[in-house]
Amino acid sequence: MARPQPGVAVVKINAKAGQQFLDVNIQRENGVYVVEVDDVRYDVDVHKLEGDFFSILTDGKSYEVSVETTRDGYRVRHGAAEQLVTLSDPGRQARESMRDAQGPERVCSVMPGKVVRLLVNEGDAVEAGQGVVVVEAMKMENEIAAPKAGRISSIAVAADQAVEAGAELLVIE
Amino acid sequence: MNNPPFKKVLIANRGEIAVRVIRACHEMGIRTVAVYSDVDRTALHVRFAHEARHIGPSPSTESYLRIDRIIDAAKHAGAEAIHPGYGFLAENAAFAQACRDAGIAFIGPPPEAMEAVGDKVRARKMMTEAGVPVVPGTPPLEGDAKDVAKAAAEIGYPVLLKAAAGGGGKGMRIVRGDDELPSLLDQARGEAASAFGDATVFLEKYIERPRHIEVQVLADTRGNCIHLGERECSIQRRHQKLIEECPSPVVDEATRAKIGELAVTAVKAAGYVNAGTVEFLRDDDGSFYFMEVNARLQVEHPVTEMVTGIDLVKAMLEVAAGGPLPVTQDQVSLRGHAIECRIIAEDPARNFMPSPGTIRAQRPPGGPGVRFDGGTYDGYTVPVFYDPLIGKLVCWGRDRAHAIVRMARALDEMRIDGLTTSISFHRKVMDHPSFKDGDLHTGFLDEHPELVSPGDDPWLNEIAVVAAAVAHFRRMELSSQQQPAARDGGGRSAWKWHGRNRGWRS
Repeated sequence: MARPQPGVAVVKINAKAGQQFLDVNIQRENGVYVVEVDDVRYDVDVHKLEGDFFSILTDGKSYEVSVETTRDGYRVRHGAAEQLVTLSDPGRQARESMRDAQGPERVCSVMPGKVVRLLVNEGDAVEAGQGVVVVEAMKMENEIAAPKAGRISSIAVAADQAVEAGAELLVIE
Repeated sequence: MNNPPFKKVLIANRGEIAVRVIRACHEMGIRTVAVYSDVDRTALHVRFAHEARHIGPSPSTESYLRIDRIIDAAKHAGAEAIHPGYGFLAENAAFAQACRDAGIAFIGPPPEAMEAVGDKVRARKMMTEAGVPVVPGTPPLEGDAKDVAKAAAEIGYPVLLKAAAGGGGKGMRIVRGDDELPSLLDQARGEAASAFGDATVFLEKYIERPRHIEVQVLADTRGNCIHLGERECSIQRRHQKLIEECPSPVVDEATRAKIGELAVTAVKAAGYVNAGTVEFLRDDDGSFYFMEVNARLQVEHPVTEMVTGIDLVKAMLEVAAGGPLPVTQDQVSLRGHAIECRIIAEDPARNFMPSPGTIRAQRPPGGPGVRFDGGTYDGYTVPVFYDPLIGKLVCWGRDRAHAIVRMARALDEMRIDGLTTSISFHRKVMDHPSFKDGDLHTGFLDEHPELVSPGDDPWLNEIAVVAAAVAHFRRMELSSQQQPAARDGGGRSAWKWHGRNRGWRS
């Protein structure tokens, strides 16, 4: 894919918001962004403001949103509501979903804390959503659930071990 | 201005409540001393206070729970009084005693009263003797199913079987009739034995759809004790409050007078002085049962302040110096309605898992009837060592419906970027028909799981995708301007280059 030339190139993106998949085309035209979401066209006047804030005007409507870049994608807030949006290159998504379903998945700690106990052993079969490890942080015990069904192929931590945010706890195959 | 009750006060706490107490002191012309752990060197309470003293490493057991270090800090700073806030040492009788021994005024109840209400068995006995109703229950039961059934019949079904040796729901069973008692008794005893090494169980009346309703009391050293109406705190997760309001939607004038009197009787029996809260459970049939006394300022005290117009922290300071109560019982009146949402660094969609991190930017709401008690700022990192409360959003309205729409409006204005908070959850509650109807009980979240499931609003998704796409496109434009052409020429597209950044799945 070509790199975008302002005012010229149309960039195609596959977007996922919540459980919804959307096709996006975006280009810059005369200082405004033209964004097509599933063939609905938005002419968007955008100003980047303080922090993560953007002011977006489109078709006379005003949206104050903040767009935060996270490990998992873009976290967009509008009013009190928020939604996680992941963007990807068309074509890659199909490959990814294959990989997500079949490949090994690392389960990581989302926060620094201490492993209280392991609820599974290597080789155990687990269901999606089943608790696999309990991590204590902020004075609370938090059960971390398996993101998918599979078999525990390795365990990287032991009870009473301190873990950093992002540390691998175990892998599900 | 009247003479301040003290010249200098040390605040033995951190976070929003330390800031709250500092604000009251500064309005009264009192100098303030903050204490801080390693991680709190740049916390807001340190920035606001006149003086600040380091009391140890970040874990609270080595800092905010160290009685010796806090007393030392107060002596060195020349503070005449210590306000403990809530949590940490606030209900620690040994700390209140240590203050007394050091000749420092403790802004809270005397240690004897704290001990009297702190022991649950003793408090229950004391309340029964004072004529305050407690949840009917039995002593530990040794007998067989027949004996237990007899005790259950005396209390009246449904009853709750509870393990004598522990809590946390282990060994707990709801029994609705004689027929199911034998098997549930076996289960409860078995579970209690394996969890606590002790099979002993006892019975308690099971309260259906209980509401958590608590009464604010205030007592001075001159023998006066008043109540400031009730708060309802039924919206909870893991027995911790999330939303509180004053008054309760189910308490009328007559009931208020009745439970207010019970609360005053309860704390008087314990020789209580200063601010305190008497917690009750209200059964679906309207009966109130005493639960416990919280011998401190409550997190949710602002809703009472908004509706009564009484500054509880200032009243605590005055009373601790031997001063009178700010009003008499006759002068207490409730005006309008106030709601508080606890804004916490937790992810409601992941069973309220903590989400500590750095606040990239925050914007508390403003405008009429809105109060925000916070302890954070742009760039502040919420530490992992303490509880995850970021701040409390409190809205006042002329009635409950008005307070709810105002809270919804304020939540829409509020923004905390950089970590996941409970803001979106609170906003959903404000729109929920059962909440609007005031149909509350402590199992509200279990009954309405849609409040904690991630939303999938097509309209929001579309706006979110437009915003994310624009933000991404702008970053690509920026990076393609900044990246030397040779790099792109070397077979790395801007997309791929960008794939190395966060936010893009590669």
